[in-house]
Amino acid sequence: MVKLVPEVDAIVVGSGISGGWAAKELTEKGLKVLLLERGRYIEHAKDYVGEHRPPWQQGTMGLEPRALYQEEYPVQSTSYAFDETTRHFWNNDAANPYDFNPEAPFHWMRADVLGGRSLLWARQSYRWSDLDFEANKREGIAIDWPIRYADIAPWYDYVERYIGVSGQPMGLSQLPDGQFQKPMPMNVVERHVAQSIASNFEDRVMMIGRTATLTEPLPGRAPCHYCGPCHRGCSTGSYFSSLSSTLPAAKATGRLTIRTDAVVSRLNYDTASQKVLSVDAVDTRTKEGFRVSARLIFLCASTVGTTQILLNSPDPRGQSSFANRSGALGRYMMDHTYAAGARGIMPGFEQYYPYGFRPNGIYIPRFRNLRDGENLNFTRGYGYQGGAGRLTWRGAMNGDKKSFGAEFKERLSRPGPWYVSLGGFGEILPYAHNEMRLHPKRVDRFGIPLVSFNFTFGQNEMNHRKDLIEQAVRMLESAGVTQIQTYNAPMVGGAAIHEMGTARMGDDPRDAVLNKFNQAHAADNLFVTDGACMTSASCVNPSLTYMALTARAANYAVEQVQSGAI
Amino acid sequence: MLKKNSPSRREILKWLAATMGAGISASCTQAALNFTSQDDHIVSTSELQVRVAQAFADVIIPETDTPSASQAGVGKFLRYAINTWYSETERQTLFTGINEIISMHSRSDGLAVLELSVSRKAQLLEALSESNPDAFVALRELVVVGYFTSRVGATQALHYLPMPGHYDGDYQVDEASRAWSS
Repeated sequence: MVKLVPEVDAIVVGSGISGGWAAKELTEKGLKVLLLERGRYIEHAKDYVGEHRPPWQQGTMGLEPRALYQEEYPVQSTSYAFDETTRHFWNNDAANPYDFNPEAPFHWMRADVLGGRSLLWARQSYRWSDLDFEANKREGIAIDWPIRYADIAPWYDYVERYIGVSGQPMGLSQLPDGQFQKPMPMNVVERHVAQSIASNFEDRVMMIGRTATLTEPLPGRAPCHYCGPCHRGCSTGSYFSSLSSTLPAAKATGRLTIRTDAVVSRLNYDTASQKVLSVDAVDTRTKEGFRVSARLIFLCASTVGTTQILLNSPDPRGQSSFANRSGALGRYMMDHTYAAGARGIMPGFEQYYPYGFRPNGIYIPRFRNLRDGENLNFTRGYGYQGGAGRLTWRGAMNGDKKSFGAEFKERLSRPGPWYVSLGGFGEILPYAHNEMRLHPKRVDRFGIPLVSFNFTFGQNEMNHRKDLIEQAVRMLESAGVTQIQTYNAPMVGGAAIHEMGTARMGDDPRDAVLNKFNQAHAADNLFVTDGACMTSASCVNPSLTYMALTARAANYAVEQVQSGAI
Repeated sequence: MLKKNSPSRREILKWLAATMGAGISASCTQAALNFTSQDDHIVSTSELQVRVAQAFADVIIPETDTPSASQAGVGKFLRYAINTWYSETERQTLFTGINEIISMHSRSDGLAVLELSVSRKAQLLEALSESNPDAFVALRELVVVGYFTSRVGATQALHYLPMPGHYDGDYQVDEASRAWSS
């Protein structure tokens, strides 16, 4: 074991949306930071090799190598964002496997490059409210959050201003407004549906999505040019990612060292001082191990990656992880319910056809269980994402098993009918039995134990899912949408790519892993600020909250370092 | 015997070897070339079906004010998709349908189907959509995907818009406007 980096104040594990923020905040506050990333090094812009690639240059003559996907990317290739323009960003499931159980599948979606999933995320950015932070306590489910909206609100402000979130202020208590750039417009049919929902359902609103894609310039980043598929990478930096935004800021301080191709295997804990003394990692190219140490450790390796490291970090006094005295480590895993809703055809509006490919849709904020006594058969709620557009040639053949020839070609070459789609994202409750653990025998090519999952959905999730499909139909019908079809895909944990929990925050070390500043109860120099820290799931997309919690935790950690407490 | 204006069996096998690249070994090609059969009509099981599929591409996407499927290079696309990209099951579905087309027209010589008029081919294709909708849909899907993702299809039949620059949700179009390709 050789210490390869001279002297750093802090080690950040992971360069995704949380790790990028940790690196930025810690370096800007004067700390020397070593950033460890298991994926390969890529450069902003230069390595976005799929960006703006025309259809005829994707795959072989436009066809994806399906056999390769099945052999090497069976999990990752299930993502809407996985294709030949993005495959180079994703994890190779064959090279870096987990204990996949086909009987009870869990989809662990992973990037394998610098910047992590911040390159591939869907960019929807919503604040939590006290409806979310107080839910566990109010309902006696799991444990109470150790923070409230007032604790995180200034950090939402701070993060939104920096990353650039376009959106419309709505004045809703369940979905607080933020520091928004000007909103992207809804199209003509979306406005029609929004008006219909507003006049037919007094408890509901439909608005444009709040997205971390710019409508106004920020330093070094240009407003969106509406080419469409952000996940291929954006050389103008128009959507927020670690590569476009936080890592350049951290580099500019001169205090950041990035080491890619370095997978962290464990933390070494000292019982006497109650600190993490060092971090063990493996160079993924040479398979050589190395050890680094620093005064401060930020684990931002993603929900599953972080907890895998913690579960593999022994307590010198016993068999279990030093971070698991509560017994909560690896448990209370959540995601969002996903891929259920309704869609249909909107007659008319043929003279309109949106120009440009808006990388954003509409949002219908949660309207269920906002007040007591609603008498529903589920608690918490769901929100919808969706939009309206015109069908393309890909959708124009559906249900037609006859046509060919000149008229058929003509029809496919023109804009098709308008469709409207609403898909729900629902809150999954924190259940102790939804867990990840280390496989007792199987290890990866670096000797690190594989992760196993046990993830199922409860009756509450089944019930809200049924309701959200019915309500989607009602709203579409009220707007005059025809040929409505509901959809309800098989429920798979991790499929929404909002996996969270497993190292939850809470005031009491007996039932929580982290305190109210994301600091480990067991080690005051260890902070966990990715999705692992979550105590409940809300129904809104979580990344904005991870960023705000990271900035808040970094601020606290540096204060503690400066005061000598750490 | 092969018709005069059809490629010889040797030409077809050489072409197969070239287009399939490493997928077919040199010795395998040589063995096939050396093989002499009493029935010289059957040049290669898949080669005949691929050529029939190619012959029907322009019936599905004909030349209008924009180029046809074959003018957009869909023939080459079909060869790759059927021989390399398709799974064995998908290939069997398509080939079953193509064999139906062949037998609908003639029991003796599959290659004769290649020479039919467009209107006769359209009749056969319509008959296929009745007798074997799965095979019809599969063939049509390959031709359509090959066409609209080709450079010609994406830029001439559709309006290629790689860099819109802004978004307009109230943009107005008329009947002559084409769908966007990106």
